Amino acid sequence: MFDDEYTQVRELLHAAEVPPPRIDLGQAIAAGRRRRRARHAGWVAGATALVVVAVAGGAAVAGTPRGAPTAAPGGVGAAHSATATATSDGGACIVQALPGLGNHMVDAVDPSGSYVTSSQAIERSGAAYPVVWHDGTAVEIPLPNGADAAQINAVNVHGAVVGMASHGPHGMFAFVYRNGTTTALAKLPGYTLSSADGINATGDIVGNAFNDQGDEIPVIWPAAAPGTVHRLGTAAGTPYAIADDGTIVGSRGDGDAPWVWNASNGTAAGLPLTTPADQPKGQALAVRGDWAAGWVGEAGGGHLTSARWNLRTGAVQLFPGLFSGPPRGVNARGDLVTGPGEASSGNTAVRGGTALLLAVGPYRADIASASWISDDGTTLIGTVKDGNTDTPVRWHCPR
Amino acid sequence: MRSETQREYVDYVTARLPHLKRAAYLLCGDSDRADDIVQATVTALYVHWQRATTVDNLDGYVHRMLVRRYLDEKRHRWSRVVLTETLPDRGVAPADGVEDSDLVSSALRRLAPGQRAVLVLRFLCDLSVEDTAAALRCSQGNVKAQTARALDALRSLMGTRKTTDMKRS
Repeated sequence: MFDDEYTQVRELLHAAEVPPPRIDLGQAIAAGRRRRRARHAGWVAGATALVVVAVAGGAAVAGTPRGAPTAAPGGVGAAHSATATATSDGGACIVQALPGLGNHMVDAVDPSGSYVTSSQAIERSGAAYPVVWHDGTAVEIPLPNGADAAQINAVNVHGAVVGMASHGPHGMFAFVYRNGTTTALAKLPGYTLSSADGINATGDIVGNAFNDQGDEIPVIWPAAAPGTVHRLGTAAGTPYAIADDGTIVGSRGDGDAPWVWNASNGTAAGLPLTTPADQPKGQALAVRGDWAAGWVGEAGGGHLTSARWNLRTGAVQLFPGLFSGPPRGVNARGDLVTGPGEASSGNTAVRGGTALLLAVGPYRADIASASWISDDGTTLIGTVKDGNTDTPVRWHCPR
Repeated sequence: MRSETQREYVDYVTARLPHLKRAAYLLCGDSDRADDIVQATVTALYVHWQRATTVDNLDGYVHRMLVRRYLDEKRHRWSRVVLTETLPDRGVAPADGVEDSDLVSSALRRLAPGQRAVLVLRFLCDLSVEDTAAALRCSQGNVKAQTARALDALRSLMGTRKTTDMKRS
């Protein structure tokens, strides 16, 4: 790079038009004080936290069969919003580091909690390599042929890992790692790029294929026909997760509306999940048993709200208290874990409708981030972090 | 925190807010999200203020915190809908009358997130290759490669005009 180009880019970045900051310094100091106190509170933290839960459209869609919600995006009629206050269960979580995984961020965890992945765990010769952790040992996942990096998106109960590998600035392709071998997944004709986002116990894999025009379509790599891939329906869409019974959740387009497909009828268009009338956009990001979880949002882009769907009844429930990110994990009881949130605020996990405060123990961390919650709701796996250090951990949260 | 220490914190943050907002905004391309990232960064900075004041390069330390917040958010797909509402890498025809400053923001939004992070850290935050690599937790080789790709992409995204022509006079 020429020196004058350095100067030019620098000037361009400094000249770019930027809206004025809207920062509440008083709030930052108050929150900072709370965190300092929480850090000094010690290994076990049991506390009261509140999550405000709004219910929308539940009654309107009750009785709708699983996977076949009849409500159009936007909900049925005037979806009512009731507000209830949930109180803490008062339980205390104990946090322990996952031995053998080093200081890396947890990505995906399998539904049994036995396999844990981290995308950028090992760095060597200018490339970062992912690992899968099992029984206290992390095993490096070889990059598929031709790839220079890989992002892990999901792992199943047998330790099969799926994700997206990249080569160069513009190439990316879906891969699966199982039995010690990483393999690129089949490509759909005309679609040069792909990403694998979900895998179930059977080994069915769902994800996206992209073409040079930027079209993004939902696809499935069925376990029953290895080496093949086919499209889900005919519309653009993004599947994110597949349940063991073949229920696939995601969105039409990329966030245009939360959507559900079924692997046993892969050519069908799928159906929208219920949304509140004023928040028709959304994505379902996780699925387990009768539950799907993700977010809904206003048509114009704007505000996003965490949401959970009951796939049996079709009802949607909103969790405005989960504001640090959308749920990325749901268990068989409908408990949720979400993105990284302040360790002291309890806005990262909900169990039985109640916020669960995740202790950070001795790790001097500000942020607690759970990736997975067990079906009985007593064990969580995720990451605690301070400004620059990640520690993968397991929480035990007795009732 | 003692009142004198707190005043130092307030003075520092107040002076750096516009710059932090600029960095966060150029990273994520959305004013509200940029404010959220900055708010989270300055909150964490309060918690770590005593440690922060002992580091050699406080600005660099804060920039690393800010980028971690940005990357954490990106990693968890909450932001995916916003990030991917832009088109994949392809040239943007420069329109007459469009301010260069807007063109830069618009072009940056179309870069891959890693490329955007490298450009902002190196050229706006003035971090060295080594510090950028530390902030992004990748190798120096990766930073160099990403910088080259980002500059290539920026040239192509900003159309056929050379960067010299795009400078505001």
